[in-house]
Amino acid sequence: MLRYTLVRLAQSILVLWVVVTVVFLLSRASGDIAELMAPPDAPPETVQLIKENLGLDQPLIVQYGRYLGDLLHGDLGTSFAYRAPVNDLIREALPKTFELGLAAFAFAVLIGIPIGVLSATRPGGWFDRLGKGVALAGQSVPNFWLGILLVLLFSVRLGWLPAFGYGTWQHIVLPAIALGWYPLASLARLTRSAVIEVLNKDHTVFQRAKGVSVGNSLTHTMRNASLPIVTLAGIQLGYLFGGAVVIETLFAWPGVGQLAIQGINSRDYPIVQGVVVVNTFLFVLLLLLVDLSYGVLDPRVRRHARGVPAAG
Amino acid sequence: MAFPLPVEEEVALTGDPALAAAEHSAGPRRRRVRRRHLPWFSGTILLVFVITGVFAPLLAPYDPETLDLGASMQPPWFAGGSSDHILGTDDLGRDVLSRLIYGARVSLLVAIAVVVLAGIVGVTIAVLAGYKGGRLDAFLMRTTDASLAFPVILLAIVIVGVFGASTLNVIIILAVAGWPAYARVLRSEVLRLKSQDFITQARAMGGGLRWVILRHILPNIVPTLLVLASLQVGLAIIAEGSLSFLGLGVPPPAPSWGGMLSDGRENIADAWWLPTMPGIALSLVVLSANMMGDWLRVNNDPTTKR
Repeated sequence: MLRYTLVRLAQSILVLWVVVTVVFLLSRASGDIAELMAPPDAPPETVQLIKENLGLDQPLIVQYGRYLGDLLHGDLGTSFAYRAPVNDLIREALPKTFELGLAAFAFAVLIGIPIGVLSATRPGGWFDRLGKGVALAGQSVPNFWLGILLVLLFSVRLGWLPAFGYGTWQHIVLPAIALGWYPLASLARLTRSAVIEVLNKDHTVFQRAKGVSVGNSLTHTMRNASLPIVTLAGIQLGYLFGGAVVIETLFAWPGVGQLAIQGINSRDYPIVQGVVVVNTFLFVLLLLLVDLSYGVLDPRVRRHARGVPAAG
Repeated sequence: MAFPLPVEEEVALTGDPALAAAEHSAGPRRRRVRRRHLPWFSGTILLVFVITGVFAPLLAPYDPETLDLGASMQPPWFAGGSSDHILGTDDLGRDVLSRLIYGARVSLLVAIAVVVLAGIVGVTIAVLAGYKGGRLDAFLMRTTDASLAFPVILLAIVIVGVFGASTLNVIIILAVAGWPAYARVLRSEVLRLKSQDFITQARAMGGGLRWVILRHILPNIVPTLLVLASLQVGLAIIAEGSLSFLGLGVPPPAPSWGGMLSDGRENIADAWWLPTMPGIALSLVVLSANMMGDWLRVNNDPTTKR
């Protein structure tokens, strides 16, 4: 297990390093940052001064070293537009993104998994077909359109919930539903498949033959079916944080996604860079935790990890 | 928005047979009947979509970018508007139907370009990794995993932040995000084929690497490739819509469904049809692509064949 953990940790760090480097190279390829920062009619001396201030007159490799050093110290630079440290801006926006992501995740898990389990207990039944319809719709209707429809119905027509903004609990309902819809659909589908698979296994069939009810045998089933479900749930959580950009923009939710879009619109590249680095870090961390949680859930993985690494 | 193939699709495709079978078990009696159904609904919608995209200039009643401020914000014909503009007009007086028709063209172009580009890269990597094996395989698969781990939207933010928004950049972003799904799924397909007798025989007969791959490996991964491609069409269209919605995609005033949704949102209180129409088009096409992919998969999956 320790060996496995270390290998996965090393892989995660490698991925992070590659992303950070690509982001650095791309941002330097985008043209002269100093000219972007300076007022449009600034004399060349001013531009030169900015360059020296930012260390942009140094060779690329030196800039890269400095950038990596800053990152290791947790310093993401200074925003051009806000004239404030990117760290502070992200620290302010990140909890709001988490808030929305967790609300959406709770919505997806609390509704999606029960739908999947209920569908699996009677495949082909009316509930299963209903669940399948919900899943197909969830995967085909883009979340931002769903968000617009929700606003149209609940804000414009009925006036029950606010159309956008941040503040009270009412503000989070619509964006959380819009954002959680897709993960709900895929969780429901996967849970259904995973539970059916376990229900068809010999040990479950044996239990059923001995007279254990479906409901009782489900408690045994769920632990065995939990591995793929946990994987998907973890990955979906990652996408919720990374992918909330669209929903945040739609609902004017002041999270990290909004910050990034504003950064792009004002060509504020330290912000863009900071958001990407922080998001990748969180995403990689999440995937790592998901992988490590296998060992806790399934003893076979633990044994496997000690021996030969998994094939393919 | 999860552009790399959703995990549950991958589970079904990479042939964990039990999971794949479970996915489609609808009771033993219904299965055979269901397989005979041709996907009429999704097939028709997709056909209409392709024809609309290809012949957009012939079909559209108006120019999609011409402003007519005198005729702005007209509701659709069935909601009290005139029959001049069947689906109404937007705040600048542009004909919604014409914009939808041209929007189909953008979505079609992006979807095809992305599927082809990502497919070529993905197939190449899958065949190299799966057939050659060893270190090359390990290296290519770790690269694939790393790419899968990177959310598309972040990639889009980086690329658009640096190079600006354009249709070409949308295609590049989505192709870069799309290939790992092909590589992962098809590699396991190649691995499975490689160990089969007919491949061994082909090699024993003295077949060269290229010949074996072209004549025996590639034709056998085509069915899986088709399933993947149809699922990716849906994902690519949603992703294009999201990017254009954010202003990171097809730049205005060119009509795109995502862009129309974004414009329509501004007028949501006065003109419900503006954000509704492009959403219906988008959802119908994506739904059809997904249904087509599902149908292809069921009919392609050896575990559900009898």
